[in-house]
Amino acid sequence: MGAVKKFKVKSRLATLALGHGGVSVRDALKAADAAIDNVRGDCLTTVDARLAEIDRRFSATAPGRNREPFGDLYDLSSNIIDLAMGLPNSGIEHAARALCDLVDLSLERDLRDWEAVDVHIETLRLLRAQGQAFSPAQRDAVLGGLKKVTMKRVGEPGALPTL
Amino acid sequence: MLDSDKLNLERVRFLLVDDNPQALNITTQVVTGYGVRKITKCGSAREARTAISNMTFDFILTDAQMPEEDGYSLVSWLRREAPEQNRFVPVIIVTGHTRQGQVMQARDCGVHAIVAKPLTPRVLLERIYWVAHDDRKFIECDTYVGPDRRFHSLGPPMGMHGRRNDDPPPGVPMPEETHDAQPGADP
Repeated sequence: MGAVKKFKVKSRLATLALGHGGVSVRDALKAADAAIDNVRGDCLTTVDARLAEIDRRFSATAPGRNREPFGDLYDLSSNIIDLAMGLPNSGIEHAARALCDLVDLSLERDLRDWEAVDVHIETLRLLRAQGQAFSPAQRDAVLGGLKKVTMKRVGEPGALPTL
Repeated sequence: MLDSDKLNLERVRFLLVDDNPQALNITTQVVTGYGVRKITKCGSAREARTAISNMTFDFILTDAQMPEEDGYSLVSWLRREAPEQNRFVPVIIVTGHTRQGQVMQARDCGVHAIVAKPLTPRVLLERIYWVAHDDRKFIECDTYVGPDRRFHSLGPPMGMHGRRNDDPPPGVPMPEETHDAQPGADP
């Protein structure tokens, strides 16, 4: 095994960002929040398009869902997480993350549990329609149910490291 | 990070990498709001490699999940093979979901921090602020190149709990001591 080198690196980010001048955190966040507000509508439009595609290709009423590449469901769900700021405080990103967990574990274990998929898709629909009106406790209850479904039908995901 | 704290990102050169044009646009809008003026945008890891080979950056923000080559692989390449002026640049990876098969890769690629999507302006700015204050040493060995993965006197990132039982609450710095003194500590 080779030697371990430890050394300090002078970061230009630190030199510039923490130097003189600049804007306050308060003003920076105000401007960034305003920028997000400008794109929220577009995000929601794309989230709806992804939900419609999931419905069309992977829901219980999709005639050919067994023939669809299962990994596409992961990509569609992942895209919903990316753009979930279009629907703040709805919990939809957590449901989409739960669906990613389900698909990822299913692919690893070579399983297809359509009933578990259906529950996740129904939850995405529910949170899209009513998630913002739910109390945090209601959202937690709905999302907690998804974890139980995945654990029961596919298995427990490994713990992710906190970095 | 206090609301009254100041941050000057006007002259900091950012590289943003995301295969999703809409997500890339959102990130651009957010960092522009922070006052960043020098932004290079890339839609793939391949494009990013070219940019990194030809320009000097002060900060890199990359998506984790990208087709062809993911963000973890990009950072691993950056730490080991990129031109010297960019090899140690601070990097934050943003990810919506980490696949089981990528967990170790995420830990070992040499990134400064990982931020969960969907991005919120406050969380991203907190992480950039934290990375700017990050004084961890770089580690270079056969199996890892990147910032020391143990949070030394800096403590865990704001809002996050440390993993040790005796870690202080979020936002409270770790007591001063060197990890070199820990018996059996990994490099």
